[in-house]
This record gives sequence, C-alpha cells and structure tokens, in this order.
Amino acid sequence: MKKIIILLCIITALLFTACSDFLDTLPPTSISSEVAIENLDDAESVIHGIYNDMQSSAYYGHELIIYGDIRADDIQTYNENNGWYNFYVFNHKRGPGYDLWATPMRISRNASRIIEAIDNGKITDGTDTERNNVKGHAIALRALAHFDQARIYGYPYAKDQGKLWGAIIIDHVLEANELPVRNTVEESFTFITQELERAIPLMSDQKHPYNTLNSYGARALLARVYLYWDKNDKAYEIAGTLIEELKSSSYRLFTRDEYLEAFAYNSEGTNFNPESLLEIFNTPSDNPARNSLGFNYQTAGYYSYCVTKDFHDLIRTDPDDIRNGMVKVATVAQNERPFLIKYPGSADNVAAFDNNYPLIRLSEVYLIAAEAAIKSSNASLKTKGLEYLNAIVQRANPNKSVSNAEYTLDRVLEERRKELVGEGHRFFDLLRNGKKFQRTGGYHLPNATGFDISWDYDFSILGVPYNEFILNPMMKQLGQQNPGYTYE
Amino acid sequence: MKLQTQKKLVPILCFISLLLGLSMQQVMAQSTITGKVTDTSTGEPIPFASVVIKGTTIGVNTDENGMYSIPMLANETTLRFSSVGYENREEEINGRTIINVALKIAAETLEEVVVTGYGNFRKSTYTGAATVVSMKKLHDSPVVSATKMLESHVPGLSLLAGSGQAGATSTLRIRGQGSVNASSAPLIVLDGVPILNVNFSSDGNVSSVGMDAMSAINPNDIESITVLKDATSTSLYGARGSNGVILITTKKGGEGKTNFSFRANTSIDNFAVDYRPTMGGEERRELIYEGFLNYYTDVKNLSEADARVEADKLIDNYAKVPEGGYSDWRDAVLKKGHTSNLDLSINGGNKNTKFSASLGYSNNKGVSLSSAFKRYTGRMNMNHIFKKFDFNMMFMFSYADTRLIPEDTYYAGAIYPIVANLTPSQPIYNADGSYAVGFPTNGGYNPLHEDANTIAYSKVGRLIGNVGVGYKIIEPVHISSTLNVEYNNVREFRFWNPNSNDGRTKNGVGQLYTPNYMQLTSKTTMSYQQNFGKHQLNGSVTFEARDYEYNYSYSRKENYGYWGNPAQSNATEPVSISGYTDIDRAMSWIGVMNYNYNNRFYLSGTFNSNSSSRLSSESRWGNFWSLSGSWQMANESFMKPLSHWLTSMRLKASYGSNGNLPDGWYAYHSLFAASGQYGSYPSLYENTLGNNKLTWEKGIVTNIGIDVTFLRRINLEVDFYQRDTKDLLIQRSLFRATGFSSVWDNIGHIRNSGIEVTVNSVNIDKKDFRWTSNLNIYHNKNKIIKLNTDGSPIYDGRMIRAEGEAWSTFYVREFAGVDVDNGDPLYYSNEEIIDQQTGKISRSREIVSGAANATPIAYKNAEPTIRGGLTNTFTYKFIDLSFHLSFHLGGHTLDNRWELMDDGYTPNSNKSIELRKRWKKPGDVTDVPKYVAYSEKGGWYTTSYKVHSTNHLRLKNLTIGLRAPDKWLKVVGISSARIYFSGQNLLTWTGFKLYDPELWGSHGVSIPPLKSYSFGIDISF
Repeated sequence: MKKIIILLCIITALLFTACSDFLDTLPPTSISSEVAIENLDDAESVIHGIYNDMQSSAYYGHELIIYGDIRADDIQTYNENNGWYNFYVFNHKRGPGYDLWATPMRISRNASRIIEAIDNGKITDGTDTERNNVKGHAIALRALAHFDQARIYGYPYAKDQGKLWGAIIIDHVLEANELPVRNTVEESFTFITQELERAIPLMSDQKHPYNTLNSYGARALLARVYLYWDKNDKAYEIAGTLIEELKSSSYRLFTRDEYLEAFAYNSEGTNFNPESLLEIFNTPSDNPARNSLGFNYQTAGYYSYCVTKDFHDLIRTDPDDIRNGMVKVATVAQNERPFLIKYPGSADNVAAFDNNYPLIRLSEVYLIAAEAAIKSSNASLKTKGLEYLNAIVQRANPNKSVSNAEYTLDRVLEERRKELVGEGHRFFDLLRNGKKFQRTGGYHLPNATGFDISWDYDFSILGVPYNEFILNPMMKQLGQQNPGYTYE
Repeated sequence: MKLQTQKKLVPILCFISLLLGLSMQQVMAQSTITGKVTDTSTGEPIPFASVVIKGTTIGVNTDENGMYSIPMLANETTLRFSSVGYENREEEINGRTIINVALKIAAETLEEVVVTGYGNFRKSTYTGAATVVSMKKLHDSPVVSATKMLESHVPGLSLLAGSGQAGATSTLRIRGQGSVNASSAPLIVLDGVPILNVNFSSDGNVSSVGMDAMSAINPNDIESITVLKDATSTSLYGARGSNGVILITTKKGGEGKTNFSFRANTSIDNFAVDYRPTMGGEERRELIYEGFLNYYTDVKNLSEADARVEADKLIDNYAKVPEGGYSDWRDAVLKKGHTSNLDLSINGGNKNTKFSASLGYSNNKGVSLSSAFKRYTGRMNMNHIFKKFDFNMMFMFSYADTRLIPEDTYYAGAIYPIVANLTPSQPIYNADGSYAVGFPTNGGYNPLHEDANTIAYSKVGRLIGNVGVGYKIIEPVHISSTLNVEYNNVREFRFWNPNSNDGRTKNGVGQLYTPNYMQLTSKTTMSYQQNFGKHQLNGSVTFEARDYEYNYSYSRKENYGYWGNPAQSNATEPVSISGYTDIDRAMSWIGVMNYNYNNRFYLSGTFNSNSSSRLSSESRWGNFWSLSGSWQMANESFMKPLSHWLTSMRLKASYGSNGNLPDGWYAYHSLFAASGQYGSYPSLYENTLGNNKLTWEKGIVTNIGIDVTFLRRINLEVDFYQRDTKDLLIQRSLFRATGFSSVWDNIGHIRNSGIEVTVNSVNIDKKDFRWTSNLNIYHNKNKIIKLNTDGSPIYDGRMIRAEGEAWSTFYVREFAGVDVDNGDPLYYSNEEIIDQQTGKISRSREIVSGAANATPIAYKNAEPTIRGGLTNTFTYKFIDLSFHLSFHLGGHTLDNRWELMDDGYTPNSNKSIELRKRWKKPGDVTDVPKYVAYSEKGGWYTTSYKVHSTNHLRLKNLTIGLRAPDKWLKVVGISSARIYFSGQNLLTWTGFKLYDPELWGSHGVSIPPLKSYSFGIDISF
C-alpha cells in the first residue's frame, strides 16, 4: 500500500522534473530562418526554392505563360468553363487574385536572403567565384521577378515614357512592417537593368542540368528587358553580341530536323538543350499536376485552350513551315478545334504533367536582335538584323526568306508569333509595340468575337489587389492603383 | 512531495470553508417527509440519490449519508427514488413521514449527472451552465455519429454545415463563434479524458467532405452527453475548453444479475430536401436559346431574324439534344441509401467488481455513387474496489471503413458535377452502353466512369484505453492517477486505374496515406472531501500532461503492369514518398474547490495554469480561473408565501476566464521550408514569418441563470451569458511586398452574448398515460468589438469581418428588384456619404442598374437569431410515441453556386428552376432578371439577391414504439422487448426551398441531410 503511494509520487515527480524541455518542439519539415543559410549548399537550395516557386502553376508553371497568350490572338479558351476565360475576354474583376502580384515579391525576398547572407559573410565555405556565382544568380532572378511585375502591372514604356507606376522595388529583406510603395516603370527598368548588369559578371557560364539561369541566360534576359524598355540599340547590342559569342559554344539553334523532336514529349525533359537559356524543368514526380500548363493544353487533359483560327490560318499559309507541327486538329467533346501541341501528352490519348516550359530560347534572342534592329534609328543594324530574322525563317522552311523590302516590324512580329506561340509572348509583343488586340470569327467564343481593343486600354494591364491599399495606405495616397481600377 | 501538498491543503480548505460557513444563516426547513436511501445488496447508504415527487419535476437529493427530506403537498401520494446505477423505485406515502427505501442495482442508469472529469455533480447542485442529454432519448435515430444526434437538443449548441454522407464531419459550435484562427471547435472528452476530434482524412479529395473522428465511436456505447458552456466548466480544461466542452460518458456496469441486451435497426435513406432542382433538357435549351437571342438583339444590335440565325448556330454547342434523348444525371448518380445497425451489450457485476461490455456493427450504403460506411466497435468498462484501492479501466476500439465521395468542386465527385456541370444535353452512356466521357464541361469527367474505375477507401482503426488507480490515503483524502492512450491508425488508399481520367496518363496511379495519431494523457489528482455539520467541502488538485504525435506518411506509385490487384507493390514507378512527425504537447495544473452549505448555497472555484508547446518559452504559460455559486431560494422562509405555486427556485452565477491556442502548432517560429524540391534538387524557401510574442487568446465568460419549478410540474431553466474573447489569435494580413501574406498576432475582441431557455414539463401523468414535453430555445448574438490593428475589416469570400458587425455577416451589393420595363436587375447604390459637419456616415439609396455602380455593404447575418427544439413524448400502456421538432429563425445563407442562377453569364452549366420566374416582357414583375447570354448585370453572387432566409421548422424525428407486455415476456424469459419505427427529417417547412435550411454561411454544394425511415428492435435478457 505504501509502496503504491510512493510509486504514485515517483511518477508525478518524474513528470514534473522531466519536463524542462518537454514543451520545446520544432516543426517537422522546416528550419528556423536564423540558421537556414549558413553555407553554399544552403544558398543553392534557396536558389532551387526560388525555381520551385517559379515552377508552380501560380507562376511559370501555368499562369504567367498563359497570361501572355490568352489575352492576344493566338490562343483562346476552348469554352467559357475555364478559370482564364475572364482574361481572354479582358474581364479582370475576377482574376487570379494574388498569384501574379505576390509571387515576384516572394521570389525577391528569398533572393535577397541569399544576397544578404553572402554580403554579411554568413557563408564561409567555397571560393569567391562560387559565392559570386550564387549571388549573381540570386540578383538575376530578383531582376526577373521585378521585370514580371513591371510588365504585368505597369503600362508599357511607350505610355507616358515610363512615368506611370510599375514594380515595387525590393532590394533587401523586408521587415514585417515595412511598407515600400510602387516605383515608376522608368525606375523599375533602371533597377532591373542595373541589377542584371551587376549580376552578369558574377555569374558562371556553365550549363545547369535543368537550364537554370547562367550568365548567357542573364544576358538574353537583359536584351529582352531593353527591348521592352524601347532601348533598341542596347537590346540589339546585347542580343547581337550574345548570338555571335554563342556560335562558338554548345548553344545553337535547333535544326529543322530537330524541331519537332524538341517539342515532343520526353520524360527526361532535355529536348530544348541546345537552345535553352532558361527553362522550367518538370519531372514525373515534381510538376504542377493537373494545374500545369501542358495538361490544360492537352486534348487528353483539360483541353482548356485551343489555337485560334486566325493563328491556324497564318501557320497554314506555308504548309512546309516546320512549325505547322505545333498545331494539331482534334475533335474534343463534339467540337473540332486546332490544338497547340507544344506541350503534348505522352500519346494522343495520354496526358502528361511534366512538360518543360522554355522561358528564354536562343531563337528569341535572334528575334530580339531582328526587332531591335528594325526599330533602331541606326539603319546600319538592319543588315545583320535581317540575317538574324532569316535564320529563324529559313530554319522553319529553307525555301523561304525575308527580303530587305519585306523586313518590317510587322514581319518580325509575325515571325515571333509563329516561332514563340504558346510561350507567353504575343500579348506583350502587341502591348509594347502599341498594337491592337483584334479577334474576329473563327472559334472565338461569342463574347470575345469582334474584339478590337487598343493597347493603351485601361484593362490591358492588371490592377493591384484592393487589400494592398488598406495595408499600405501610402500607396492609395499616392494614387498608385492603375487607371480604370478602383481601390475597393 | 504529494503528501506534503496534501497536508498543506487540508488546513487551507478548512479555513476557507469556515469563513464561508460563518457568513451564512441557517434557515428552518419545512415540514417534510424524511428518510434514508440504501443499497439493497450492501445496506450501505446511497449518497446523492434522487427523490422526486411523482407527477412533478420537483425533487431533492440524498446527502453523503443517504439521508433526504422533501416537502410534500397533500394531494401528492407517491415518491420516486432513483440513483445512478440503480433501478428506480416508487413508494406510496400512505401517511408516513419517514420512508426508508433500498434500491436495487440496475443495468442501465438514468440520472442526470454532470461528469466534468474533475469531479461529478448532480445537475441540481451544479453551479455552472451545462446541459445533459441522455442517449436513451436519441438511440432510435439511425445516425452513426453521436455528436450529430445532439442538434437541437442542447440550447447553445449549433451544428454548422456538413455533408449528409455517413462518416462525414460536421462543425460544432457552442455559444457562437469565439475565435478567428484559433480553433472554435469544442473539446470532446470521453470518460474524463480529452480525445482527438480531427478530420482523419489526409487526402485532399476526401478532405472536402471530412472524415469525422466522432463517427468512430458507437452511439450505443454512450450513456449520456454533457455539454459544458460557461467558465466554471470550461476553465478546467484551460487551453482547449474555451469553445465549450462535450463530455461523453460511456455505459457502466451495475451490481446484480448479468444483463444482456440486443438492439437492431435498419433504415432507408434519401434526400430530405429536393436539392437544388435544375431544369430538364428541353426547358434548359429554350432558356439558353432565349439568352443568345437576347444577346444578339440587345448587345450586338442585330435584328431578331439575324439574331435567330446566330442563336441557331450556337445552341447545339451549349444545349444539344443528345441522340439518345436528354440525360437524367441525378437518377444515374444518386440512389436510395440503406443503413443497418446491430448492437449487443452485457452489464453486470457484484459488490466490488462491475463491468459493461459491448459489440456493435453498422453498415451504410450511401446515396451517391459508391459512398459507404462500415464500422465495427467494441468496448469494455470495468471497475473494481479492493480495500482502500479502486481500479477502473475503459477500453474501446473501432474499425471504420469509409468510402467518401468528394464534394466541394471535384469533377469526379457526385453532387457537384450533377448539380452544376453535367447538363441533360450531355449523354451518360455511349451507344454501346459504356460510359460517355470527354464533355465540354466538368473537365470531361463522367463521375460514373470515374467511380467505376477508382478504388478508394479510408480505413480507420481507433483504440482508446484508460487505466486508473485510486487510493484513499486517509478518510477525506483520495489520490488517483489515470493514464490514457489513444491510437488512431488511418489507411487511405486511392487507386485510379488506367481507364480512369486520372489514371490514364500514368497507366494507373496508386496513392497510399498511412498517418497515425498517438495521444498520451496522464493525470494525477489528489482530492479531498469532508462534511462539517451542514458544511460540505470538496476540492482537488490535478496535474496533467499531454503528448500528441501525428505521424504522416504517404507514398505514390504509378504504372501498373497488372491492375486487377492495385497493391502498390504491383506498380513499377515509385513517384513520391514522404513522411514527418508533428508534435503537440501541453502541461497543466488544475485546482478545484466546491463548497455546499446545507444544500442551499453552493460555491465553486477553479484555477488552471496551462502551458503549451505551440507558444514560445517566453509566453507559453497562461493562468485561468473561475468562480461560481448558486442559491436554492425556495427553502428560505421569505419564499414560503409563494410555495403553493413556486416549488423550487435556484439562482446561479459564474464568472471566469479561459484560453485558446493557435491552430498552427509552430506559429511563433520564422521558417524556411525544407520539404520542397526542384526536380531532384532539394530546396529551401522562407515561407513563414514568426512572432515570438504570440500568446494565449483569452476568454472571459459570465453566466447568470435561474432554475425554477412551478406547480410542481413545470421546470424552467434560463441562462444568460456573455462570452468575450480577447487577444484574438489572428493571422494579420501583411503587405505582400514582405513576401508573406500574414503573420500570427494577438489582436481583436469578439463578443457572444445570449440567452438559453429550457422548459421541461409533465403535462399528464396518469396510470396508463403519460405526456411530457421538452422545449429549448436559444439566442446568440455575435459582435466583433475589435479586429485589426488599424480597424480595417477582413474580407473572407463573400463575408465581411468588420468591427461592430456579427462574425458571419455577408458582404454584397444590395439588390433592389428587377426593372419592370427592361428586365435589368436594379441595385441600391449605397455609396458612403460622409457629412462634412458631423462626420456621420450615411449611404446613398439611389437605385442604379448594373452591379458595378453599387457599393457592397455588410448585409444580413448568417447566424439565426433564434434556434431551438421541441420534443413531446407520449406513453399509453405499451405504446410510446415521440416527435422532435427543430427550428431556426432569422438566419441566412448565401448561394455560392451562382452559375445555376446567373442571368446568362455561363451558358454551359445547369440552370436552376428559379429561372422560370425570369423577366420576359415589359410589365413582368419579378425578382429574376432578363436572361441575356454573357450578361453580368446580375453581378453574380456578389449581390443580396443570392442571400436567402433559413427560417424553417423541421420534423427531425418521429418514433413510435411498442413494448411487449410483461405477461408475455415472463413466458419466454425476456426482461424487456420493444419494436419501433423511427423517421428522421421527415418534414421541412421553409420559405426557401432550393437547399437545406439548416445550413449556415455560404453554401456551395454538398449532400443534404437525409430523410430516413428506420425500423428497429430492442431486447434485454
């Protein structure tokens, strides 16, 4: 009897004394922020964390790419039952919420974490070159994030010469209560180009197995930014130099024979290799699944998107153009439509989630140079510009070429359409070149047909989510909502 | 160490009781009948036995020594004696003034006892606010989850939206919504130990329905359920009691002959409401055609003839006539459900050892596709007394095999596709009889095809065991220790074979979730109980520690060579494997003291010091307390003049505090997630911003109650309460430039106040005929006092959480009817006007067309102002009949499936029959606008047009039973036998008929409550 009392006392006493750290628990799959980045491996893991975020369907895994296509004249939604239908008909009141607004800033925070860790000497292993490479990579990704925010939420530079609101510049790790405001488009582009120019010399030119950004990719991106900024000479200079330099590297344009194979399904995912300067790499076990862009294009998937008759007619004008192979007519749910097969399933009736998405291909660099040359006031660039354009034209059909007289901005834009369809460019091409968004007939849904919208239409860019103005009243005070959008 | 504590405790308790005792006056008792109640087998007194005057609700309880005294009127002739674990006994008075009775141990108990886990109380002496529901009343219903049975039987308890599928979760709230991001769910306590009440499903598809932990417990094992509502009761549970506590007491054995009982029932189940009726094929086709016609004439300005040409071209894309005629998807996907339950239980024991055991089996075939629920349960309770020791143990197991069909907006679910997406124009079958697939809507999915090509089950094994040992140290001091282990093993398997839409891509996909949930609770209590003349005192000190581990594990394999057997071993491609362990721990010290003076004054105090691993070491301890008392006034001399009609009157009051924790287990940490990957590269990503200062959410609860009995037959119980939650745990929104959407913080203040009324009456009590009624009504008012640092509202879907408004207030544009001339919907502009001089804010009431010109406002509250239930029970000779009605008044829902009732925006979906009322020609007076394809004038669901009243009255249960006469039973040697018919949700009277009026807030789609007809039999030997 007494023994039991003693036993009870012991149990109780044990419970009390054994508890000094009983209540200290740690999350199962996370690391405390203070100790997260302490060596080069950690920093590289954060780089891959950024790509993992970019890979999600809320960003390059679907939304950001389709955003660049669905609002223009190449791609349309199959029917009204689709989350992106509202973008297709320029009705943004029920848009994707915070995805496109907040993801770039989340990327900027994580990139800043890496940059600060290196700048503050927290990373002590590795050589200077290795540390610089990671730092340069982080700076370049941060610049890319700012570029995306500037081109989706800011008007093209041509409108008011960049004086309207663009991206929020985030160049450090923000405290919880820091409230930066939007910068102008001009300031945004200045920041982005300066950052890329700072990053490029730090970065290595080695190819990553997943084709993440290296110094070549960063230069291609810089050329693209200058083109958007309407600094054509700069754009030409960077693109042209890069093309020439890459001629003596493992990078090259696909050949005509390789072209279809490059966009065919491959579970290994390395088809874009010779051209790929930046891509989103999906694997059978790591992909955005049913929300992926590919699955939404595939007829065995959700067939959310099809090719417009307008584009189908354009590409069919030259049946020998190899890029006809990017479109396939299929009957789905009783309707016959042309579908894009740039991100195909593993067979006609078998969908795939793990297609890779090219973000910068060498072909685009050629077309940037061609476009910058024709837009430049410096006529001497045109010879080389035409040569770059014809490299793309003749790759598609060796019997075709563009003559000097035919070399116009519209011809370059047409070539961009054919070459880059479905890669998220067309809408921005029209926007930054002051063109119209026109849609007629074809399979356009009744509510989208007859569209004739000017590039500087209020709703051709997105509005800032309302709640941001409540959380950051200074933005409201400065009138930083985009025209046409309200504050609540 | 414990002994020292005990030695100190005694003099302190004595001192306090002395102080209290001195301040009270002794009052003379009435002339009464007195006596002693004893146990037949032992002859020992039975304390706290209930003595009730037959035909009234008035009664007293025996004291520690089994003694009682009760005032009687001349016309009252019989006393009814009862006590927990004993058979009832009636005694005619026949002029006696002293009546001593001995009670026999019974198999089943009846007494209402409030079991708090920190001491048991008879309802009549309990100072807090609690409702006890004996499961006897509810056993006849075929519902598989006990908590679901409670609806409208307990004032203050509400059941929010849930699916009608067996095994699906329902959301419980006690006295309103008290938290924002901390849990608002009540704590569930089984035989004194908190058990897990989580959604056991890890799979996203099924989580949309939720797999209810409570449905693993067999309702037939439950003796009674006590719902604790105020601080007296809930502060005992510290962290987890702030949202109220539901105490489940399992059946216990009794002394005497071993008793067997057998129960069986079977039911047929169907929808209780005609759920979201939609148009048939031809009617829908006409509507869509009309929409295109209007579109081309109104919007594209074509002539009617030209518009017809265009509409003719389009109509088949949206509303084709299928070759085999229009489809009836509901008929194909839905069916009649079927439930059967079998239970066998055994009770018995002797003076020192008592036991109770049971086995149960339930089988349910659901109303949609292959939905099903099967459960096996077993339970054993045993207690034993040996000298100064007492031992008790409870062991319960259950094994449930559930097939839940996804709800929400899953294409492969049942209810969403057939209600919203799959129109009569889409064929169900191909010409060859196979399932048609590849529709322009619903992602191309045919739910029947998917169901046939999917193997999915969720199996839950649940083990709960309690072992306790107690020891009486010296006469008034008792020490006990209990260890509780709860282990839940879940196995959820999903297999999509290569024919299914989801499995085709991968040549078969097998996903297996095998999480387990392990909870250890240890509780050591030292209690003290003593009487000093008319003073009764008891108290206890408890130390409790809890360790809860959640072990997650998941694997996915693809590419099945042979898929007749979908075991993961039969697939070739391992795609994903993951696992981790989450830990949640808590410790607390609990002190309780109860004082009773002559059964007239009762005082209680509690103290709880609680700590949790969910908070940082600098803020993890929280101290909570309560004080309560009650006063039986009727015995006081100044009340004597009223005694001819006022039989009893008890006043009670309580005040106290409790706490709540964040839902997230690691909310205070700043974190980089390490679980992500980019292809084959590991990744790190900062995904959480921490707050080291995060602390307890505090609740302050005041309760004032009165318990009166009139005319000896009508008992009225009224409770008023105010429940304030301060330092609300809120995920404060962050400006997105920080990289985060929110950070945890303690901000805000919500108030719930209300009144609860219960009336019990014995209307008729004759020899052969008895009629009793129970009515409960309650009202809860919720108000947000403070919400954010800057006072800005939080928008949550179509709800607004704003200071000064109720938590569940809708945020919509105000609909002003339909323009008689052109069929356009009209709205009140409701633009904010700030008076420059006074600063007062008003709203413009201009009528505008086009939703864009109207400002959204806080509009109507989802929570009903009044809810309640009414039960009437009639017994005539061997027939019993009872019916239970429930009602809501003043509540609202918002219809979230706008596409069914739009004004033309989505020509692809099904259309509600409400659109029959649409405006067609000038002069039409209606609430439904003109139907124009792609029109957005209806503003979709953002207008008050979609907000509906939920006022309703429902016949929730009707039971008719026949008891076999004793004469017959004696012949066959059965002690009792009864057959019954029971109907669930038989009738509903409501104004809004498109979906279930018991729902709350925004409603999308879910299986509505079921109407069941069941037939059952109970036999005891």
